[in-house]
Amino acid sequence: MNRTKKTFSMITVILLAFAVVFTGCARSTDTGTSTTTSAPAATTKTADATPEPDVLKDPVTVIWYNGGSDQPNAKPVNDKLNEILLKKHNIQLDFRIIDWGTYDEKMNLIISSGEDYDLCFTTQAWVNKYPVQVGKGAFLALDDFLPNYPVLAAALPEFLFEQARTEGKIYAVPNYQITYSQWGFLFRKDLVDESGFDYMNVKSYWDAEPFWKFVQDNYPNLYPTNAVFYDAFANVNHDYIPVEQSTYFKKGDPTYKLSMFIDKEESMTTGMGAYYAGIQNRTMWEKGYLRKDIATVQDETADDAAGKFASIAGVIKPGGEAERKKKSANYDWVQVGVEIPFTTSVASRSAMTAVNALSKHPEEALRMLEIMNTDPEIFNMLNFGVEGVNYKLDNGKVALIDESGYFYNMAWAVGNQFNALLMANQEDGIWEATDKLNREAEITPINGFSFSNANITTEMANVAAVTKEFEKWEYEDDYEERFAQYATKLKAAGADTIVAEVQSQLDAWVAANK
Amino acid sequence: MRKRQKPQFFLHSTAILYAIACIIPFLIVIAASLTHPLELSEKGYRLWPLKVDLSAYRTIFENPDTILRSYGVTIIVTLATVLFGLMFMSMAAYALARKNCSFRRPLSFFFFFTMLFSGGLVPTYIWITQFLKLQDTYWVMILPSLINVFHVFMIRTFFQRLPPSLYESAKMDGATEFVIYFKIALPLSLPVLATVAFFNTMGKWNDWSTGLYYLNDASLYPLQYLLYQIQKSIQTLLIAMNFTTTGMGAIPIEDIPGENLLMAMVVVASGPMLIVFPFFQKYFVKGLTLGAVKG
Repeated sequence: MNRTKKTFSMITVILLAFAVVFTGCARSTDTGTSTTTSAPAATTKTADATPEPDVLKDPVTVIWYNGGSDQPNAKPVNDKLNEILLKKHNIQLDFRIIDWGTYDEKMNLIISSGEDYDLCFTTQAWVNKYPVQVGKGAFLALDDFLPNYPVLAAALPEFLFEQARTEGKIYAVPNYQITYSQWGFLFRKDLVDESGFDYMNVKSYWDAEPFWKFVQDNYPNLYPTNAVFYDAFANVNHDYIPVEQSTYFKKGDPTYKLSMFIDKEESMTTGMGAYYAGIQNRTMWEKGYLRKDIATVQDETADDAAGKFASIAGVIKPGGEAERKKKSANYDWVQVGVEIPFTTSVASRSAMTAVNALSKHPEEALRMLEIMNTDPEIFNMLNFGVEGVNYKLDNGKVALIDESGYFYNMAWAVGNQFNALLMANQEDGIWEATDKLNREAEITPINGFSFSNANITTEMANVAAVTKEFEKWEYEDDYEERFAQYATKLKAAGADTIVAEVQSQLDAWVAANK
Repeated sequence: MRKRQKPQFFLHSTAILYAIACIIPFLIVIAASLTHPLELSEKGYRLWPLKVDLSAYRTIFENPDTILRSYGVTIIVTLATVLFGLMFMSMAAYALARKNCSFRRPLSFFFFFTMLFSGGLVPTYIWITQFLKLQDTYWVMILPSLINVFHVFMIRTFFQRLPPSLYESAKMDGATEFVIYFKIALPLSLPVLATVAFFNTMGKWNDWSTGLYYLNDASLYPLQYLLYQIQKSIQTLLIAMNFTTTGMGAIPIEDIPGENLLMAMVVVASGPMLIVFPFFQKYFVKGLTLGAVKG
């Protein structure tokens, strides 16, 4: 009797315990299903909603998660912000800042636990990854909502929204900032003046050689350049369109045939790919324009901060000289673009804001997003605090008030960067110039094409490992031999599979969109 | 004689090699904290700094607010967890050890079961943030770690191995269960209590995951999470700089601390543990072996 009782109680305990475990599982699957069901429900809700100003309704509080550093004096700023938001737009904002270092982990927990929030920051490949979260159904599809927010749509260029389109729908609004990229050189101004180097006429990579030669002869303790040769310098007119995973197709090619340019001859004739770039680097190094220990050096930040580079190859943008100056020992810099400004298919995905699929008030969330993108008063208060308390306007530029405890300054993570006030070290007209270049830059013919790496993660990891192993092959004594090994290992690691996969996704996209 | 020496030699050399393997990383950390960031990036890590540079420590102690506050949090949390944890765990262990406790076996099983199965991170997170609402409080760092079932069983085993006549005679003299627990069982179990206290101190002092999941308020960051967070921020920002060519210029790169600063913080953070360890050590071996032999 006693024995059966004991067995029975044992079984009950086990069952109960397992029930706990299973409820645990059920909860997370539950979140998944309700995600899919709630989205259409929300959609019908907006269709009925009349777009009249909701002054009479009680203000809704929108919860917004974003990254940044902790602001000790956030409360008075938020109170003031909400006061204005209430008066102007009848809405309230609960802005929650998570440190960048832990944003990814925390946001994942918040999303998978179904915690209540409305808006969050998302990126393509950095933190809170957009393709992953869209795949999980974490974000709301915005296509049916956006027509109700004409002010938002008008404030941003159209290609921006298209870049966020994935699996047929737009799941996030990109934060409008610089969208094109352009490679070129930055030169230290004092050295340019001294040498009389005509930097404005640098049209290709090797045009900068006279400057490097000058630095080498006169300043032996400086490094003439960090300018490692990138594809961008061969592809100055974008005759090859970059797709994904270092694959390119030739502009105007009706078959969109992709290549990684692993083959030596192909690389040399096209000027694309690792071999050609490596040979350029080797030549530079042999001529003494790159640092001697380039093959072993790991981190150049400290050298950079000490101002040891006379020129830098990198991204050129309005105001780039001033940024460069801050990074390297306060030297003045000049810049020149070599490549044409070019917008890749998912450039804007580097910073976006998405609406929670489970949001209790998606309309207000989008309304808040519209306000943040179009109302400079609100936007600047969030970024810089209250004027007179946290910052002063000095000739129309932001001057910080020390120890005021608020300086969020994350315009690019919140909304329309071009509505931000200028900082003291930023040139007048920098936003207008960037906006103009954004709209003028050549846009990739495959705008909005995004790539899912789900089928080739193994190959990608293998290729990344091989690339890492052979990272600096061109500086070895037997570099030709090394490259041959590199190419063989790349093929063995599955480079062809990757090209085939990108090709098939691109073909499918072309068939659907062209 | 000879036969005995061989395995001894083998054991000792293994232990010595293992000890060296443990000490070297620590030496590297100390050396790196004493090296200038520029030299660190040029020459890499070494066992001994070529040129001693105290700038990292100067930075820490010139502006000690953050680190002192985190120290305070860690000390409060560690003390609270260890003291209350010992209290609750030994009480639970006492009940489970006494034969006259009704439902002793189901209760033991109930405890034991949590050692094998747990709800996992997300349910725990939901439970703590949405039902208990403990996020951003001291409680979240203390309450969930008060009971460690493994330690409860360690203490229970120790209690069970005390001579039963002790309990009986106390009972006959009219002592209540609480008095027996407090006046007899506890004082006789110092080795195991010290061992458990030591484990808890170590665990709590080095705990960063609680902060990662549940803390957003910087004034509540414990020391290890502060370190973790600084290190992660450096990494995240470096990744951001590498792969985004657009718009990330707003990140103040010049504010990123050098690696030597990070290492100096590691030294400052782990220093106290080096002092605490010898204090517990004399109980340590005894407590461990006692827990291992099941009564």
